[in-house]
Amino acid sequence: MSLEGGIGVVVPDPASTSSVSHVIKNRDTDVPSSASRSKRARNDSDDNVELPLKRFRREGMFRFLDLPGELQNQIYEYAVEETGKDLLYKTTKDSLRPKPPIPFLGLTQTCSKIRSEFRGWWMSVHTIPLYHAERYISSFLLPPAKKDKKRAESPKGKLAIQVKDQGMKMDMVRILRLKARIPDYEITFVRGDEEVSAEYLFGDWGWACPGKIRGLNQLIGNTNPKWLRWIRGSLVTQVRIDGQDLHIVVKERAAEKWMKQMVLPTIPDDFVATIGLDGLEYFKVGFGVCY
Amino acid sequence: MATSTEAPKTVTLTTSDNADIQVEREVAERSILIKNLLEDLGGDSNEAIPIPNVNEAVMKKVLEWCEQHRKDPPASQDDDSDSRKKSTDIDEWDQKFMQVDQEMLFEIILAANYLDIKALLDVGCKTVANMIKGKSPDEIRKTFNIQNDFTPEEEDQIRRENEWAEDR
Repeated sequence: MSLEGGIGVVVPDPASTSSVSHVIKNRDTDVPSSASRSKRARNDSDDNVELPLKRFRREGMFRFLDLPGELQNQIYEYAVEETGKDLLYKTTKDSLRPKPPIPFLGLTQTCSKIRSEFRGWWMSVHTIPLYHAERYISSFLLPPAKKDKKRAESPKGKLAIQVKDQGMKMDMVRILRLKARIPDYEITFVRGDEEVSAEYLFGDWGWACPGKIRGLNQLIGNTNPKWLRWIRGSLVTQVRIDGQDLHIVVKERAAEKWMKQMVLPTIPDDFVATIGLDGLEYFKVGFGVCY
Repeated sequence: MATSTEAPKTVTLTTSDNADIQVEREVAERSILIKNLLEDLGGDSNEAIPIPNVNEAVMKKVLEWCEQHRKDPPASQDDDSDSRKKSTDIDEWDQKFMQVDQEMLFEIILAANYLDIKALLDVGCKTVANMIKGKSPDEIRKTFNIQNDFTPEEEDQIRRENEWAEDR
């Protein structure tokens, strides 16, 4: 099924038996060459269009970019399935042992066309541990340079952040800013599979308890306008999590008067609701001021 | 009167390079395209079926696969569902079957798509996915004959991604 014929001649495998027999006949019928027919079958309008340089034929190549889009998509789909089977971050006690490559990272870095078609899809099955989320975001989700914006993928996608580290302290502000910058990007916190442990079942529910996960998802999904203004305008400098405490530090110009009290500011009853964090599960909200 | 010793029905397929290939109808009907064509032509037509988009070498290879899988259950509507796509595992015979040069692999995939043989198309696409799974960008470019067209800014981002992949 050569596109331009004559190249990629394959010798039939003589060992290939079966019930198939063949007889070659020379016909005088007015049949167009396989080359022209197959080319027409694939794209009627392209007959006189010169192929770009990168598409020149080379014998023995797999011409991925010449596949119809739906077949490229099918290959991408299998690649995404494979990627989704692996946690991207694998801890190993042996620091000298080379880490297994991230499946299909190489494919995303091949050329701009494949990158724009495949990378967002591929990233949608990534699961990252919470303590590596910041590094991941700065590596994979930075806004593209202005001149590359047109060919960068749409900022839609999914990221699962795995919460499995008990007693971890963490500043969430960068993740919240990312979510505010690309609201269509679905970021969810999930419980790590390894968390179903004795500690989980019998008492210290640690980081992975369902309430914590729901609380984190409430926090990342908070679309309260004032909250988003704070986050987008960098008026919040920290959203620190320490156990059950959620400590929000705001810049002085955004701070309420009561926040500036030196000793344990009393939060007015209705204030938390004004930033959309009323009803937050698991966490106890506190405030501080960055001077 | 039909008897159990009756020879299996055969059909003749005419490929793009004008070769006639005779094959058992049951084998050829792994292709939904051929099955539908035969049904349209009526029960016992001896007319050759033109397959204008597939050459002889590729057709023989495809029919070799059809022969091996002649007794597989027919493709159903459900085959389009996710269940078919859950695994990139390929059975041993199919793996050996797919050990062909890359040009032939490309042609088999196009032929399976044209002939509407979903299971063969799946095997072909899975083979390509497995082939590129652990490859570096350079290796993939060589395999697919692709030129690197990234801007310096994109190269910077790729460098950051690779640093993350190294340090994770």
